[in-house]
Amino acid sequence: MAKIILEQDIQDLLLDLSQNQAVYAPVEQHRQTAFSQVNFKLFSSGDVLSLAYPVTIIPPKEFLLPPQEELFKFSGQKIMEASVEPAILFGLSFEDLEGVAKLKKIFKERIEDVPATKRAEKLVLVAVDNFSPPAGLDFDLYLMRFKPKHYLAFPKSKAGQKILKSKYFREVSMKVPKVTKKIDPILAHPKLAQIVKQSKNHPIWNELAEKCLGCGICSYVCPLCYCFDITDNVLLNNKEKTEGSRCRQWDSCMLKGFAATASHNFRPELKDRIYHWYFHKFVRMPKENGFVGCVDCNRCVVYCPAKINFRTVLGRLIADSEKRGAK
Amino acid sequence: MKKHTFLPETVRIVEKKVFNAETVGFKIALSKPLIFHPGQFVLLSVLGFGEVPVGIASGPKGEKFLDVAIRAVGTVTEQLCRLSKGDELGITGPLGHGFPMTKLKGRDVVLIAGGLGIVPLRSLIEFHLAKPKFFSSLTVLIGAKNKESLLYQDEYKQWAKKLDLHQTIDKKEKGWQGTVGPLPKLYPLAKIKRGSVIISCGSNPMFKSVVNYFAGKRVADGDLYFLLERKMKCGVGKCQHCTCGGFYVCTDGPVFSYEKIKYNTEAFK
Repeated sequence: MAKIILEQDIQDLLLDLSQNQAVYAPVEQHRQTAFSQVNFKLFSSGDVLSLAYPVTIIPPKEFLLPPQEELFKFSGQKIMEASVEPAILFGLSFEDLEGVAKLKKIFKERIEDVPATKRAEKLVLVAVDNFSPPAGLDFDLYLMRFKPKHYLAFPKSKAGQKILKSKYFREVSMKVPKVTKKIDPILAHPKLAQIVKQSKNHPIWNELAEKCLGCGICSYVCPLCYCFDITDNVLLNNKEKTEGSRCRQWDSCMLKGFAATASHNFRPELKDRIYHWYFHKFVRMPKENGFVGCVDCNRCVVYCPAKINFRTVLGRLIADSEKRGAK
Repeated sequence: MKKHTFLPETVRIVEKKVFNAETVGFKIALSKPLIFHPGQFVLLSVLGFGEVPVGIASGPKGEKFLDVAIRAVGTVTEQLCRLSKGDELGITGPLGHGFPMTKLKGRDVVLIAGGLGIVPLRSLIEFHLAKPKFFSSLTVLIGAKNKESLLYQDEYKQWAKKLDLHQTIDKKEKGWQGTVGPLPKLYPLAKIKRGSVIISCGSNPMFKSVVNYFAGKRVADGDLYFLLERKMKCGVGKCQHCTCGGFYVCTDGPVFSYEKIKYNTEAFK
């Protein structure tokens, strides 16, 4: 037996779930969709739950690595660890689920980033999309839209099973459809890592540096860009001792000062920083983590003020490499 | 409960040495003995200002003390230099990989230090003073811009009894009777034998001069080591600030053999 839920019931399901813990879902506000905390007030204010949305500006990586997060608070020399509350992250698209699951892996592997994995452990991931659930990725529940306004449930964990106990799910007997998501042939190119690695002296990096503003938006909107800076914030209300917090915030390797110490900038040129961005995603990530650092969500293309498209860049590198190979 | 990756431990300064106007050395009392290898580093933190990576300057004697040296070049290092004996600070580590100690056993080792570069190399010198038979021989070449920038010079007399020590300063100074000139002037004094190992720490121009003089001709690429410096923010291979080509300086280094970084276009940038 399979379990399904109708689109009209999902808002009530979320309100029910939000009685026990925080629930975040894609909500359309001012013609933009963003993950917002679900409560009665939200939906009564005219904002609409949006389950088939073009991407959110900020990817859901903010739930593992918030744009700004307190690693700990301090008062004098006393250090107090921050705590994390559990939450349900509902309505991730196929690509965003891939992004969150892969980011979880990155923070867990090698030396564990405990603040990030702690957040990850407290998150229940529920994805909603038209495709069959992805193989080999961690999630709690996947809702597949098998026909308009009808969703078939694929639970993968105890937390997922628990959500299925809600009265809004009904049992039906149906054949489980299979809809595979196609992978962009550029991202699936077997020699992509090698081609990008060998492209350091390709003229394209100079050409991109002419166009690129070096603003870093491609990193901020990327579900798999996770670099960060750590700084101390100080409160001014206590005259007796220093009070404040050590915070980490998003950074971008595209910014000029990213690799600069107080005495030397190790990557001062924009063309090198652009190459480095591609090098990390398409050379280092496959080597370090076993996957390409792109989930094909298109955010960096949509929000780049210079209209740079990574597919055009990679496509040209691949074409030039194949031309060279043919000679 | 899992240990928080970025939580510093509070430790106390028990001794402060003022080397010159911008450089100080601290002896830090640890709450528990720290197990580390020469060449590893720690993050020092001043709450309210931030955290910086510094090399460990003392040998791994299993004691409850750790030596570090800091030059005031940025906000955090300036604040660190202002601390006095008895003050508290935060420490995270040890981090990174140190020198390949098993490989160094029984070898003729040459240390080349430019300026502040002597700090992490001093951990190997202290190791040698404690275990003088571990290396076949130890030669130390130190260069600094002036006499007061020769760090730990009050210890040189002791060092010279157990190792071959050469120093140079950039310009002639009153009271200085040693070599005058850039560090490469000392390179011919390193008695390179078959199987000698060179470990150097300093600036990129200095690294290039070491490569030019020693690599290929006198010392095998795999026996030539460099301690790279980068902006190491997290120290655990996540924040991405210290990447150098395909490596993280924090977790893959900071010690790299020339063999490993020879074709890395970012290594000596």
